[in-house]
Amino acid sequence: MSPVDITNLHFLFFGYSAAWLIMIGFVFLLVQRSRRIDRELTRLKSMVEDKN
Amino acid sequence: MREKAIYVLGILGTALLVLNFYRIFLVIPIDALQGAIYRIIFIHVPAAITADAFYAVAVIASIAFLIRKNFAWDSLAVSAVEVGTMFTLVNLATGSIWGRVEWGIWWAWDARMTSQLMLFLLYLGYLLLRPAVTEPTQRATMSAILAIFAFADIPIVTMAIRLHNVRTQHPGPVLETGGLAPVYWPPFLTGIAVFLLLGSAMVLVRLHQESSRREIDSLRREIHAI
Amino acid sequence: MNGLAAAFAIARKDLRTEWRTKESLNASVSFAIVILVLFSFAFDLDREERLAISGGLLWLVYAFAGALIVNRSFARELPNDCLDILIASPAPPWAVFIGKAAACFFLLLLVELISLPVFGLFYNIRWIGSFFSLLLVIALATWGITVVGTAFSAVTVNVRLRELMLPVLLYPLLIPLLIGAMELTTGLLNGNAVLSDIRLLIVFDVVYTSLAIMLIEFILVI
Repeated sequence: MSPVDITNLHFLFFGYSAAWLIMIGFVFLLVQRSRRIDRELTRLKSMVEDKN
Repeated sequence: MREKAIYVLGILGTALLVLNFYRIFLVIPIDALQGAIYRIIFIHVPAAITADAFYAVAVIASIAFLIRKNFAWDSLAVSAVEVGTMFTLVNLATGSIWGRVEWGIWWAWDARMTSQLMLFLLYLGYLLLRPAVTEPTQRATMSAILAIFAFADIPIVTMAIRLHNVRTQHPGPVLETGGLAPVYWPPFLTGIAVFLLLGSAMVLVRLHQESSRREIDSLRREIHAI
Repeated sequence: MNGLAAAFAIARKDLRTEWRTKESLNASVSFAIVILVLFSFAFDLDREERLAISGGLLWLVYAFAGALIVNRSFARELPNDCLDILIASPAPPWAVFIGKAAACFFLLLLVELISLPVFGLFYNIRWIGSFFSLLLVIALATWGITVVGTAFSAVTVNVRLRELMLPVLLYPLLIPLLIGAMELTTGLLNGNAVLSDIRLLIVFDVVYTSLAIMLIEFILVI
């Protein structure tokens, strides 16, 4: 393969990696937020039960 | 029910993704002129199309919220905008890398990339506005209005950038999708389907989070009341 | 109450209030002049280069000044519950909006017309020759800035960090309008304008004026 082709493949790899990293990063953010929300929800629910 | 939907969409999307990878890397021939980097088109353009689809969903949801005042529409709007913005970011990143290979520079201010950048900024503003407003009804109403204004800007932005680029001789769009060779269409369309499926799964997850958030708000109010 | 009369009354009130104190006007004009001076230090340009950036620079200055003016528009109604009173008044919402937008329009136009000779002076650019076409472009683009700016001013009036949020939201939306204005202005000052580009400004103005009037009820109920 010519050097141009190899460079091309490198950038192709970067491109696909960047795209999937962004998407996986977003999913990770979503999961983190979900966990935070669930924790808060259970905390509040137990507080309400305690008060009742 | 919703969880099942998320799983189905996710699995279907991933399955198509794997199938598509196989097709992209092992089946179709390499483009003679542009080399291997051309394959980035299978992410770059579907991401833009998917983002546009979600922005359209957002504007419809925003209008529905203003008319019906049902918070479910507001949740749909913010979820769609978030996922759409994420896909726009993917489009910008892959476009930049392509430009680096094609022209040697990381950003060339060409017509299509600049429009996408504008979209990104518009909807970033939307995502920045939301946390700045604490009252839920106010936040939802303002977001809805912003989403409608932003969506109306899209055709105007395209008009303006075409004008600007003609005057200043920036390069034309990188991809002429009209001229896609027939052998490239299946992975391209599959790519769009993959993003739409995965994106919808993400929107559903986000929707679930929004309804949990509203539950948290009402619980908080209940605790204060007791 | 007659809508147009209400709009007129509100515009007159805003203009009169502003004219008595001249706070916004002074601030905006000073700001515009300072930016013009700053830019002339920032770059060392020969005549051709100055002509090439003329439209861009002028509209950057106008856009910054515009944000200052529209920000005040609804913010000045916050003390003493004036905003609630305006909303509760028999004036239709669109009249309140158009009245305020019109007031901002005239104020911004005034700032721009004062800054224009200063710009011509510092950058040695002749603008008198094409003044009437320039005025048309300035008027159309200024209406676009004020209509969207006033709408966002209403939207962000109760938001945290309003002074920061308003420009952050406003500028991306205005970019196409500003691009059109910049290209036309540079063209006019260089003598090679393509006047058909004015379509862009007109489309922007029509679309956003209609949208703002349609949505203003939702904005002002906030």
